[in-house]
Amino acid sequence: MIRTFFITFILLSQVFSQKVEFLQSEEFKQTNMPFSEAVLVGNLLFLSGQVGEVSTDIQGEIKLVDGGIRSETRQTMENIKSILERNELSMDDIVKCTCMLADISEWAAMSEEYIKYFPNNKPARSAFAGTRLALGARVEIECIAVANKE
Amino acid sequence: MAENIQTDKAPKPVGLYPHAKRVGNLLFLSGVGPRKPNSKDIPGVELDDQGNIVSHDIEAQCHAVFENVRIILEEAGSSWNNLVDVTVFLTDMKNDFDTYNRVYADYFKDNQPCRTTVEVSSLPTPIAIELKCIATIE
Repeated sequence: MIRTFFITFILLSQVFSQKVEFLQSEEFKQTNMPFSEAVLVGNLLFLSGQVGEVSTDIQGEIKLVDGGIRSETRQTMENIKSILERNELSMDDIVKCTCMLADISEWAAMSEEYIKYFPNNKPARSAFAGTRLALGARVEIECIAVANKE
Repeated sequence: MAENIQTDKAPKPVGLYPHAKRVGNLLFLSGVGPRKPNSKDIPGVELDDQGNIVSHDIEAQCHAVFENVRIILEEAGSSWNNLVDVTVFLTDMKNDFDTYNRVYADYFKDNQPCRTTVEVSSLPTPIAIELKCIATIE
């Protein structure tokens, strides 16, 4: 009886304890974009799409990294890694990525750089080409990570 | 396991899919455009005789698509403020992004879901914007 009560309590607490947190770093707030950098829903962390952007000398201003698809892919992955680390997660916690390209012929180059960031777990992935990405980027990557830490 | 959500109050899907699917505490919405519910009318679009788009009003389409998303969320038992992830498809990012981003900001003063915006060459039916959303549900 006590055991049944305890199990019911655990199950109910999981249902009702699903917290939603809208996460914005101070740096991100300065860009004044109308969305969050990441949203935590229970143990899932949703990240907004990232491109290979870097800060400029002007506060709050951003630009794309030079060098095309390979350097943009690396910078995009670095930006994803930073957001995860700010939320105490790592690349190993990513379970799904959607990779959007400006040109599908750059798929192989993107993949070669992408895979370097996943030496352990390889997340589920979809990739496709659109016709234009934010900031004129060559690649944009959107991820979902699992936050298993209690 | 997963429960389908269908409603007559939102535009009829253009294929064999539900308006939304509930999985545990998450609600996944199918892509939705600005078409008016119970109608074939798309706000703010001008078509030629062949049905090609001559011009479109992105502001009108933004208001219409956000309204359709809201209807589906509420019909499912969720709400606008429960949105956590929004993927936006535009057909003309160069000309429409600024207007879309401004109207979007008006709708998301209280909660700011994750967002990804991408341009595609065309969408099913002559629309200029489509949203794909994930929300929480009690």
